[in-house]
Amino acid sequence: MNISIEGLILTVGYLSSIMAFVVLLRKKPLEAQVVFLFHQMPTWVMGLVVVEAGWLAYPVREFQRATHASFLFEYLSFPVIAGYFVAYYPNNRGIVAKLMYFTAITLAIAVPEWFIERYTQLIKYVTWSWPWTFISVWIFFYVSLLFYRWFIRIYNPAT
Amino acid sequence: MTIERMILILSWALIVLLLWLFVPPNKRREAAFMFLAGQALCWLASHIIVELEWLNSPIREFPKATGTNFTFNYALFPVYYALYGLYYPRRKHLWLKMAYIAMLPALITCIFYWIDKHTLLFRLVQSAWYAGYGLLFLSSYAIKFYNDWFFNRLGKQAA
Repeated sequence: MNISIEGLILTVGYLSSIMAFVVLLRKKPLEAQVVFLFHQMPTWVMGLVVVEAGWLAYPVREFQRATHASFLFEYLSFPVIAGYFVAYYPNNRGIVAKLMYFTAITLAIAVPEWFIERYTQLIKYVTWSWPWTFISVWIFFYVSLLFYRWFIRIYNPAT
Repeated sequence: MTIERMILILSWALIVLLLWLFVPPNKRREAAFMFLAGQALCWLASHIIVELEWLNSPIREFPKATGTNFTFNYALFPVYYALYGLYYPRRKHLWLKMAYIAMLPALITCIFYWIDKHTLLFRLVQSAWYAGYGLLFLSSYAIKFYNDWFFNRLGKQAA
């Protein structure tokens, strides 16, 4: 059997995302479910737009016909990370702590993505570059945070 | 203006209208939850079905990025799931519940059968219509069940 780095990353990605999601479900079920589900809304559209407009390409992917985007990242990984992001957001700390948190988690996505783009065939930046990833991830995290706050407001005024 | 374009535009108008008219303010979160859960389900299901070539959408909104129809999976079916759950006859006779559970998916299946026969938006393999109905039947109830379970737990937690 030919084991490619792409297959390895995809497999590890699926397993770790699912496990991470299960862990979050047990510790913070509310954030896990609500944020995971909501976050899929922007990632789905964004994934389609970037491929349709030709900014990004995903040469090696799970679905050949159904989509030309990365299913793992947009359906599973990114929403799970967003769940962790909202669940552990430092609500009670100052703006500096919050900005550092934002930056840290956003980099945790942008940096590995840059390495994957460079050394594998899973993603290819056509007319894209890492600042775009950084900005879009930041915005998506913020929107999910706002949605979660709205959703939970009537059940937990303390948030 | 082709019939496909007309149907897609009408779908979006219908989605906004249905959500605006038929979601009472106090049920917004439940509707949102079922909408999002429906989206997650439709996303996965449509990709698997298209990849297996049981369904194809010759005319679609993102021709290069995906083989699936975007409008139906992102918005139309989720709205159906949300309204199904909101208007489920919870405190009525069993026969009314059974009629609801059987008839609503049947209605949607008929609508999509028409779309299959008269447009190029949606083409299902002939043998798959009963499976499609079955899937809709089960998933509609599952999402309604999930919603009730979630908000039941949420209510208990907040109390």
